[in-house]
Amino acid sequence: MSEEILTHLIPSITVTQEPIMYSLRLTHPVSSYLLSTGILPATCWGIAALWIIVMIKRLDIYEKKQHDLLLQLERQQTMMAIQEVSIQEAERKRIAADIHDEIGSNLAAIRVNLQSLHYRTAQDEQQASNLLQLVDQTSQNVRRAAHNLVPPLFGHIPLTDILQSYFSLLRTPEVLFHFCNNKYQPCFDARQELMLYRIVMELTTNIIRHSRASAATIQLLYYPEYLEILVEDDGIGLPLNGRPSGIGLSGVKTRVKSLGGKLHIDSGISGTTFIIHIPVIPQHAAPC
Amino acid sequence: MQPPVNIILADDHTLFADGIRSLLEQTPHITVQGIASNGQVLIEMLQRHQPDLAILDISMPMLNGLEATKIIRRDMPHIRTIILSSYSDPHLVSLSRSYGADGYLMKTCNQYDLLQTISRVLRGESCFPQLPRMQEPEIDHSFREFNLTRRELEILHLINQQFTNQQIATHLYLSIYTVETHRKNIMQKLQLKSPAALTRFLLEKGL
Repeated sequence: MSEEILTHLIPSITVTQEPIMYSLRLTHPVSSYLLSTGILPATCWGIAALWIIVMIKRLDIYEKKQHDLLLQLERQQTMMAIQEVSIQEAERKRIAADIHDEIGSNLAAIRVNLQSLHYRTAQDEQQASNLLQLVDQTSQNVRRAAHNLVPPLFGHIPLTDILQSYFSLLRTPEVLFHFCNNKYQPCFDARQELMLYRIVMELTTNIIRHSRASAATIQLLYYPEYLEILVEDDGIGLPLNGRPSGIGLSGVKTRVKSLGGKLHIDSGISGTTFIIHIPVIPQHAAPC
Repeated sequence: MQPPVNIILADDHTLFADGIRSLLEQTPHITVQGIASNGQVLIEMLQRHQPDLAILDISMPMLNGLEATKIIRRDMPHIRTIILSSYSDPHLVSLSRSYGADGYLMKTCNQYDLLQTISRVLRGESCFPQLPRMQEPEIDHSFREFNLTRRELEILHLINQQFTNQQIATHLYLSIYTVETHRKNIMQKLQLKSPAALTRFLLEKGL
């Protein structure tokens, strides 16, 4: 009977093929036994379940790998941005030194030497006076250019003094700036302070250019564990759909990140408030 | 007849220092005893020559003009000092004053100003440029000493009216985090530790 079923199921098998028939005769009872006892379906289910588990595991591993790669990519991007910023800073410092030490000093020397010359005629004296005026004007421009790159004696003077000075000279027709700080603490090295200075400058420039504010307050408040930079204006707020990076905030973000800090932006119809916390790194915390 | 004056100059830019020297030596009673190329050389020269006056630049290698001024004031208080700098930054002017300089001049000054400043400083006067004042926001006089900003004062008034942080945030269109930050800064500036201390403070101030 069983042979008939088999020959029906597998028509190409003929009964005359003795060795095959022998093996079929042997395997058939085993498989019918496995089927009837439910071992075979259970094994199938088991294999299927195992396969699903393996696939899920693989998917997990794949997702973890992807996550790790993304993290690595992000870290590398941050590192690159930080490196770019530090290269830019080094370059700025070099150019500022070149401008100030070379051009600025030569102009001062030209000026003082022009003054010490003896002029024979009134016409000569007038010409020298015109030249002096030109030298003064050029010196002023050179000084401004160097100052914009890196303020003089940066790193030797408290950052709060430099900013106080900057805001006392800043005269903008639209925005009234107010700078405020508590007691300066030498918690950061010159490189970090330059980054803090750039953060304040970038936010100030944004206020002047984009905020349409009438008043702005910039505060540097030193706490034992962190420095708080609080910049607020009463302007129109940041554009809702516009990416903040579009108006020059990317530099602020990179610098805050490289200092291990946190940036909080609160923007609405009453203006914009930036709250930045920069942690005091333990090795620099000692003198505080 | 004016008494003789001995001066030592310090500037790392030789051409400029030479120019100042020839400008000063046109005045008969002034003698320039030497030119130092940095702060450290200046200190050595001052100790050796003991002049009446030192005229020095701020940015110099080895030892800058501000540090040198501090040392002169400490070790050789009888020597008068004038800073002659290309910078006009208010903080550099006030730092020079606090480090003990007697005068501050811009490198763009003319011969007359230079000689005037020298004679005034030698008479014992101090001679500094007028500093610009920061435009101060109009703040209630009773709080001026605490260095509070306009926003902080606004929040303080709302706290006084029993507003919660959330109510202040809604009222001023700010996030609650911003309000909390301002509140923390107010407490730090007023050097208060607890809300009860703040209430007492507001009562004392008669708010």
